[in-house]
Amino acid sequence: MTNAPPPPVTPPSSTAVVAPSLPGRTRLAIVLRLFAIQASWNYEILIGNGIGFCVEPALRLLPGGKGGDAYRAALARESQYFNAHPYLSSFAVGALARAELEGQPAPRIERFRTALCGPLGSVGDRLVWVGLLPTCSFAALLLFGVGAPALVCVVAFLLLYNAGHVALRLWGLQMGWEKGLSVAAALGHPILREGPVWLARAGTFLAGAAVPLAVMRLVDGGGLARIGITLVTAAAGASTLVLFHGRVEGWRLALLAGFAALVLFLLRHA
Amino acid sequence: MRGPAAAGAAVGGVPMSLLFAVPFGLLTASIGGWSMVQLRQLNARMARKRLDALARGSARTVAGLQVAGASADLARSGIISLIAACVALPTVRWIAVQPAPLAPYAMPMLAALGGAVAAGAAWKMFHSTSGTRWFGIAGLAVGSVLVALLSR
Repeated sequence: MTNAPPPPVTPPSSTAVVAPSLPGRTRLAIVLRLFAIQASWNYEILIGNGIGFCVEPALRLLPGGKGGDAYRAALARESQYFNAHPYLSSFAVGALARAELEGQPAPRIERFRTALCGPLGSVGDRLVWVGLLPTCSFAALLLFGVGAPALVCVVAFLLLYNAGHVALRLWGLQMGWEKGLSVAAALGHPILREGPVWLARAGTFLAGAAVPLAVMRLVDGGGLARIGITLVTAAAGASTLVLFHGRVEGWRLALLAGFAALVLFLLRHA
Repeated sequence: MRGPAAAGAAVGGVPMSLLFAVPFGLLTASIGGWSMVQLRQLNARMARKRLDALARGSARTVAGLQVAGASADLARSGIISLIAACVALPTVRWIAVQPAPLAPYAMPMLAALGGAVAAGAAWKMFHSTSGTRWFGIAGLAVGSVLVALLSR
């Protein structure tokens, strides 16, 4: 038995059946389900059941309707193991829904499904976890640094981050449905190719500007000397984190140091 | 928020409360992360028992797993939040009224910790993406100039 790699995903042939249009109600059901795609995330089939759950409204349009042979076969196929970034899974959901409704051969859909996992995972991680999430956090921190109330900072973060991932899900579903089995080409879109780089640049710029301003606000009234000492201490802490990169996480260090300081301060009083 | 101007204050107030609240929030988040792993193992056990039904294309099983997972997650997060709030709120109020002569140093301490974690996170960003460090340096320059101007 050989472990040959799966054949590359190819665009649908010209003989493929033309997909029916996706009714608005079905599209809305898929969009709403996309927000719960991770609900049953587990170490057995990862996000596979979530993919099946999201594609299911479209499968009702298959010949025989809900519960028919085609429906059950397609749902079984779509609920198998799948691993990708939860937000970018919308590309897969749209493309798989279209492939199923076009009546593409089952082996082809399964190969396509397997081939999608890697790219959707790596692009999503870079775009969202390394790009969007920290960038939104630093934007909120900058707002705090320039004097915005704490609640405004929290609301701004939530608005920015949610706008980003909702837009990504909606766009992904649309692209997936439009491109079908050719959706791999859409992963070369400038937003996915250049977006992570520009988000990282924006994030580091915001971080650079936000940290001194936020420190200044926190040590309010202390003057430049006090701010400087605090910033130097922060830089030393950051250097330690960088030095121990991969071995010590920042929040663990902060947790230990914070509790140690609290105990020390209370003991000094006692 | 208090600063060094409150050096002579008799009680800890907000700075000392924050010195407890921030690590406690991190601890709660850590417990949340651990409980999420447990939940995913529970989800895996449920899915494993239903693999045959999934292979038959049972819509009820697919939806059932999603609803069970979401419900368990809601219960998990709700219980952790409730316990954390029940512990933290009275403690924060208690700490705030305790005498704490070192309270003026609490905010700079927190600022240094937060700054270190934020700068460490930023380093991860420009370390993993080429050509990004100059944007961080430019941002730092802008932030430092603003601090110098606003601190006068």
